[in-house]
Amino acid sequence: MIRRQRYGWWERIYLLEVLRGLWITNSYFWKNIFNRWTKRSATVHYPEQTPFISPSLRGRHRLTTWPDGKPKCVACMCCSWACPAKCIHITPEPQKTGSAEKHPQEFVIDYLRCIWCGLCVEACPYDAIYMDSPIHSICSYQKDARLDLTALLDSDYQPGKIEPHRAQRTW
Amino acid sequence: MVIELAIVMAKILFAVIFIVLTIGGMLSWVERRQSAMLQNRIGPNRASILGFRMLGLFHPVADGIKSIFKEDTIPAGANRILHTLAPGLAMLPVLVSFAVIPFGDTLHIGNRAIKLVIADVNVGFLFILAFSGMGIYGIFLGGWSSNNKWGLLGSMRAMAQMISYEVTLGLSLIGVIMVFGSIRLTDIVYAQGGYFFSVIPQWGIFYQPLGFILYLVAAMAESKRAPFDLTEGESEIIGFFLEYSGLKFAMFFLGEFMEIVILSAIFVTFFFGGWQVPFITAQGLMIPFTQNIIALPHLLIVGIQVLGFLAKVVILCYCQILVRWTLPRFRYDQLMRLCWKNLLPLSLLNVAITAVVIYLVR
Repeated sequence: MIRRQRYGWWERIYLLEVLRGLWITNSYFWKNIFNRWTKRSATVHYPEQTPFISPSLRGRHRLTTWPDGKPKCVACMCCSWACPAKCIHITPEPQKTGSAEKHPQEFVIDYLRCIWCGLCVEACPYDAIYMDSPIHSICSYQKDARLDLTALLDSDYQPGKIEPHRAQRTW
Repeated sequence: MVIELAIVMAKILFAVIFIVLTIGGMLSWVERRQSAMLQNRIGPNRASILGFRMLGLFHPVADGIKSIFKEDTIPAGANRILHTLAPGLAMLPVLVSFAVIPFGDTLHIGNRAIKLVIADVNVGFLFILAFSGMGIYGIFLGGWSSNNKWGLLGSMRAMAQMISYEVTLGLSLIGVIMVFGSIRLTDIVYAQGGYFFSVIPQWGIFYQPLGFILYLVAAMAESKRAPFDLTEGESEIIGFFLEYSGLKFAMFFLGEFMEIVILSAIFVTFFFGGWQVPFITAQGLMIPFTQNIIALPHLLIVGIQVLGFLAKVVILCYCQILVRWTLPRFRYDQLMRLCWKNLLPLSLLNVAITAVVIYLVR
């Protein structure tokens, strides 16, 4: 059991401790006013400035390709089965040429359902799906949240792209 | 007659439009921006006109436009008249209180003497207390007329708090009244013109330090802001203006900011020498420790004094916002205990000590 700490007379007067607290906040205010160019605040002005993104970020999905540009995906449905949120929808199509029997005719990921767990990446036997796009997708509308094959092949694709603000100043 | 009327109108315009509304409106920006600076944040800076952001100064304008065009809902079963009247009733006493606060010395233009106070009534002290008491009506009617039990409970809470703290509010100013021997506010300001040891100005705070602290606490409770903001509690409990939207809500909100300005002005009048700027006398700049006076033009002196008053008001507004963003909220029993068991005995003690000291000195 943790006993509640008894306050001394100093704290029980309350007013003096209030003054100490006011002194602290006041000093922060003036420091921030005069040192505003030295970056104290952790805020990043997001659409204008991009934050540092770690290379190991589990970002948006990316479908890998062969050197000729075709997706490595063989439409085996492993990722779709592994997905706990059931957000991967693949329509397979038989393939005459090439090594694999099938390839995805449609590959849709519903990002309103995706929980970013990474199980699809672990399930894939062909290293065809990675989660290494350095992007947290921003979408303005619900319809933009379902990404199809072309979008997933392009790691720079942003669905509802927010135009950078005209003014670049942060203050 | 016409000129007298024009002078009064000009004074009202200056006091209400320039001092109360402008500073009150700016405070909505200052509060957000200052709190951001206190907390190592950046604060609102997105509103721009043609790419000019002006440190986010357009945010109050944007908020005003937004609240004008928002839908104004009156809940079913509400008393429509009182529901519409309440925001005005909450704002009116705040504006009217400013009528008796002197914001400058007598201005001589030609052979005309203009007192820089809208109404120099001889019961200014009572006037201020009466109208700060009136503020309860707007809040109570706002909560009651919206036909919402939570709104009603919120207004009951606000009423209990405001009526409790009004006792201390009045009693803590009694000491100042006893020291200066007048309840006319211009007399009180004139009485604070002297100096202790010819350097420290004879302001009310040096006569009444305990009264100053008591009034500070009571006034903050009266303005219903943190740490006493459990009447409204913006983030979670809302309170009496639960059913208000659009411009009516904005009026409650602006009224709160104007109340900060008014309280600062009352503070300045009673405890910080009103428009008296140290070492500026009616003749000119007085050099300390001597009787030498460097003569200054009359208009400049009055201008310095009005600016001094405004500067004091602004500094006190800063302090009130600083307190609001530093201290956590009281619990309701702590609030009532602070008022009835600590502040009220202390304010009575303050009055008694002041009476004894005045009796002994005279």
